[in-house]
Amino acid sequence: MAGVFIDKKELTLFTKYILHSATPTQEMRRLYRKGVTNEAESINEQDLVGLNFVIKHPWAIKFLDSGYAIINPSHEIRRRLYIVFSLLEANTSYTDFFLPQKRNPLYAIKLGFQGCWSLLKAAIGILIIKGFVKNV
Amino acid sequence: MYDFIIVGSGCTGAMAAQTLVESGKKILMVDVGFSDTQYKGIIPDETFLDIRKNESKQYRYILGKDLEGISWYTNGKGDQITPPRKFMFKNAENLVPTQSSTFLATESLAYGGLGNGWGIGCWEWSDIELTKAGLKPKEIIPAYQVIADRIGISGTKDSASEYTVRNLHGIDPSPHADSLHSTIYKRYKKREDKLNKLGFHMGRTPLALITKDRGERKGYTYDELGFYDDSKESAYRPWITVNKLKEYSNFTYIGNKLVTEFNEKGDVVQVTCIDVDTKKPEILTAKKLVLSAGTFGSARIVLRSSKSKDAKLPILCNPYSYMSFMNPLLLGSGAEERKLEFANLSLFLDNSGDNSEVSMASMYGYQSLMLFRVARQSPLSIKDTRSFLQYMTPSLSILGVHHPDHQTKNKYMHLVSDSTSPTGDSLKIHYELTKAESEENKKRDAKYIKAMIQLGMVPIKNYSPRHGAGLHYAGSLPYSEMKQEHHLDSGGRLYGYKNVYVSDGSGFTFLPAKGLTFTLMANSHRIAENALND
Repeated sequence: MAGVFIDKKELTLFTKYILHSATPTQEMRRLYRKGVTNEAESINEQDLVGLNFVIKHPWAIKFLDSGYAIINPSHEIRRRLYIVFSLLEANTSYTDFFLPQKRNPLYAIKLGFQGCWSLLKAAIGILIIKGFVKNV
Repeated sequence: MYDFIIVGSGCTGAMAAQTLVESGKKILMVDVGFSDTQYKGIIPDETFLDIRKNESKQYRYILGKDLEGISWYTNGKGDQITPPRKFMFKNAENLVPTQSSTFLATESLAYGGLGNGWGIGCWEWSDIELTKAGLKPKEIIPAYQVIADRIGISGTKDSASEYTVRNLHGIDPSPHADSLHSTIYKRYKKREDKLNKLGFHMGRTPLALITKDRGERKGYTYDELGFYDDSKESAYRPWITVNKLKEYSNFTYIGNKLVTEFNEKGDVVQVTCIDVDTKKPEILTAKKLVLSAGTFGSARIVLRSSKSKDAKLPILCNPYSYMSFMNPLLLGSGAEERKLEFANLSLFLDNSGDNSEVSMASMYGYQSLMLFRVARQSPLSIKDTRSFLQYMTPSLSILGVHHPDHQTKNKYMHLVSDSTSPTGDSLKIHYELTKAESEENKKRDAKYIKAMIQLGMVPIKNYSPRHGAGLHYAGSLPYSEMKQEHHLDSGGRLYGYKNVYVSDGSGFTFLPAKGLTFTLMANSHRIAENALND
């Protein structure tokens, strides 16, 4: 694997996707680059097709994240999202989004709808992957 | 000349050393002894929750300075270990390599060995279990008390004491269980008779964790840093003992040495070791040798030193799986201050009712480990996993389920040539459960799921890591009454030698599911006493 492909827009895209209110800092950029590079030798080159697709079509990130969770959980997009997730989780500015919070019982209903939407996103994501990403 | 050389500074090495040092003998401990050079002293003296909320540089020790804690392409080795503990595995793959497609052997050359990452559970094995393992209850039971007095144990005499702290006395009270596990336990008590009839017994997990101050060691403060930091020494780690022994004039510790083999010449044992940096060999001598290098470490040393270097040695390893469950009543209940991060409860499955073939589940909450560890295994998108987990975490109980293991012909190891290894060899391991064993374990797992449902818990996911990932290893040099090469007599002495003993788990002929470390330490003390008296 020659070099590591990190688009300059991807960290902002991934950060805003995981937490809409979050903004990557300089330190986060440095750590993200380190995290992506750390296991660069293991990246499947085929996965870069999906990664490129998401950079060109940012609206697709939610569908591909959900779709790959089902058909290819080790996909490079998910690895990079996982790195962003962990960096946000270990950041005091966003702790409240990760530590358990007291929720009203009606929150379960909200999560129920979110679960249904997750399934739909996965289905759409799989269609996009099979129909468009693989043909790019 | 030294009276004894002890190889290894882990749980068994530390206990053998303490017994021998206190007898007045001149002791040399030889060890590789890698230490933590990156994280010692940088974790603040705050609770885990406060660190999460306040410490801007927390990523250094939670994710790792080199982000080594968020590895994606992992082979499973040490996945559960946090960055401050990863020094435990430093250079082990290079210095003591293993080869296997069926088994994930994890060894430690660290100061304190695998004890640095021990889950600190301390269960007494039953008389039947001890006997099946090749041990004598009348010798081990008093040894359990010796170890408990040395290391400090907290536990509860409850209705499951036959499986936990049946004979121990003078132990600290258990730390309080978290709300989730208190709820589970209350539910168990209401259904106790019914669950007992199904073979289930639940009790508080006895832990090598002091709840009252003991000299320089601080009683547990519920800081939830047990997986990251040991600076208060509330949880026992073997280096605590080795550090203390260094204050004795009759104890010498040398590190950076990898013991490779030994040779008995008359009344003297010559121990060959190589310097880890220069690879230069050196010979150390003593009247007696005690190998406490762990099941794989001792096996290597014995094989290299014996006539039949290519012999196959048996292995025992508890089959292990993780099961996660959720209590719907605790969904969205918020973070809990003063939550116990170690195993709150133990749930035993005793199908035969005689405490002979018991499976055991250690039950943990999930607050002091990060969500990203679970996110990677979630069937949902990484994004959606966050909100679900945030809601679910207070309700999550993670069970680490172990099953007993027996010797069979499909579980063995042997040395093979390896020119890339500093010792010229590596340990090739094959481990396979029989069909009957696999099916029995699956049935037991299914019974655990049903029991947890009866306790109001909803099953979420089962995960079985590769064999060996549970880090419970034993049985490479089994105890035997027949004088056979690569076996130990009942006193831990290696057949064919007058003055070579093995004090780790190599001698066990059966491996109960109840964690082995407490029994390893008790047995190591017993063997050290035998070696003194021989």
